[in-house]
Amino acid sequence: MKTTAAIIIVLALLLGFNSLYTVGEGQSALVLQFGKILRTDKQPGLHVKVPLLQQALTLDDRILSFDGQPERYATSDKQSVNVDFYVKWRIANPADYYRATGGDELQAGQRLSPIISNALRGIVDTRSLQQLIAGNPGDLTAGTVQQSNEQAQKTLGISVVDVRITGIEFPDDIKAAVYKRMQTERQQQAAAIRADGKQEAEAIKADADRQAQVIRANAESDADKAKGEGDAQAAQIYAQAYAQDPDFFAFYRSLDAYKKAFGDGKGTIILKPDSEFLRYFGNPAPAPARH
Amino acid sequence: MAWNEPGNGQRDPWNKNKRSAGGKSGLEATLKDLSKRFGKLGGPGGLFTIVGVFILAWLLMTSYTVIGPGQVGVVQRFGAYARTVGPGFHLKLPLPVETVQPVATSRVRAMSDQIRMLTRDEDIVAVDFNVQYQVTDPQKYLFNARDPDGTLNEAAQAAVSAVIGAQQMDDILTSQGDGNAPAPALTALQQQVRDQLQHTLDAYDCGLRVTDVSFQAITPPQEVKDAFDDVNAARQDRQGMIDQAHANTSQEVPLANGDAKRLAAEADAYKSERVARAQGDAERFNLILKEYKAAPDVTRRRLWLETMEDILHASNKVIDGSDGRSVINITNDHADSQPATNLPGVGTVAQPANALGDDADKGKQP
Repeated sequence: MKTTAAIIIVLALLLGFNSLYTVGEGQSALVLQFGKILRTDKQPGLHVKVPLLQQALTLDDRILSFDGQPERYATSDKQSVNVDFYVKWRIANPADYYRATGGDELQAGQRLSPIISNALRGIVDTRSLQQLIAGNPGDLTAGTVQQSNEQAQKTLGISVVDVRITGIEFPDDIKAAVYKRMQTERQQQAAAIRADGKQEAEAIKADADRQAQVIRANAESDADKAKGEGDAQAAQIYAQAYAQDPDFFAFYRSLDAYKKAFGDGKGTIILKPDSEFLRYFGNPAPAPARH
Repeated sequence: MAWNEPGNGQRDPWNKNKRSAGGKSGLEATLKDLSKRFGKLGGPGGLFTIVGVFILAWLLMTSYTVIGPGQVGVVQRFGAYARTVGPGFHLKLPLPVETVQPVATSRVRAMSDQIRMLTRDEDIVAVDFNVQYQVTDPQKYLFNARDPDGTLNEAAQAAVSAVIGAQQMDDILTSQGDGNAPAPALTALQQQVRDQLQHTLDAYDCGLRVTDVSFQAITPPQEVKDAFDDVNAARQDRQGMIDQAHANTSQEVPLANGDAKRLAAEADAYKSERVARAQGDAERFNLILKEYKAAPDVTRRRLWLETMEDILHASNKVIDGSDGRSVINITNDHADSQPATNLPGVGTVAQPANALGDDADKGKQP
């Protein structure tokens, strides 16, 4: 008897527990009856269901993430790029979501991926690489979000919260060419910088040469001027002195000149016996009166 | 790094399970112990006692929680948010009615990553960045997004890529300054990333606040690093060439100035000398003129004679009595006083007086 009572109590307890389920904060629950969706519970807390017949399935109601594989797209200017992105999504309609994916997130991601890819392709197609790289990221993906959201809501019960591009890269086969170009650009830049340095060094040298040349030329001109002044002053002094008696000056200066021209002892002077100098040489008579 | 790395204990989703699992294993041990002790009582009475003790222990062990410093505990009652408690010891309803998730709120979390991206001029650049952030709203942090820390990482990549993508390669590289103090341009970029990241996180409403974004390093990819380094080397070379030119020419102008001073001094000396000589000559002339004026004829003659004397004293002399038709041989070694050997009757010509006599004789012979 007692054993039977105990068994009944335990069974009642088990059934009681089976008739309760909790929905956590950030979760929603589906109540299924033989695999058929009866209702959706979004309110967190303790809920009641029919034991054994009904099943409760909790789904995550938070924002979930889908990290897309980088995909190769062509921009409007025919450049190939790999676009890496992530998608933030959440279950908008648990019933639709369950029907479409069986509640499996992996499957949801697989279904979501082409929708996002297509929407993204539409965005990339119509933009040049420049616009894609430098464009406002919010504006860029807003269209993707809107477009993919509509489709995902309809077919998957998923709302797309956000799509963001985390990286735009050239595919490997193009990357090599880009590196080559970058290298060439830098080599040119380096050569230009060195040439500029050379040019500037030459300019500095030329400037110094010019300055030195100007200084020397000015100095020579100043020196010539000073010398000229000396010559002029000397000439003035001479003229002043000699003008007192030009005739005597001529005589005096001539004597000076003779002394300089003939007084070095080189050469031979031929004298006529009747020269003035030899007047008394063989004849001590007084000179005849001249004048 | 580990102290503020995300994913450390507190947010482990298994945490509470582990805690309750630990409780269970403890309880199981107790249960075995009890069943040993009360086993001999037998019957359902014994079973009820065991169950009663089990329930009592369960209530005791799951009716409190201890929240560590710098954390808050988010309490859920049957899954629904009930309250948030601060650090310390708190009573709560036993499991499974109330569960607690601790969240470290005052801890500064950090993440670092390196990503490669395209710049506006279609160059490729690698950026090492670091983001520091805090949980500001534990409730949102737990219930609005799964893996908020991973979300932050992704959103940070998107923000960095967007901000750097809008720049030119050269601007980014030069924005780094000299490596000591970050340049204002870099600070502005970091601020942009921070704002954009915060904006994204706000849209996800996941209770995170970005406190700092910093770029650790912005570098060209390894494949082209040499070429970029060479540009820097070229800048050094350029400065080197300019410095060298300055060094080489630094003496040139002072040297020219020195030359100029020397020229000026020489010219001054010339001028002074010229004037002084002229004055000297004039003075002399004046003195002689004075004498001359006193006795013109005598002075004139004296001067003439003195001059002729000087001239003829030094020179070879020939007195030529011919009519100029005959040519006279003249010894001309007066300078070194060598005797003329090929002329008979001629001894030395060193003494002008003798020479004069000899020459005079010779001159008279023909």
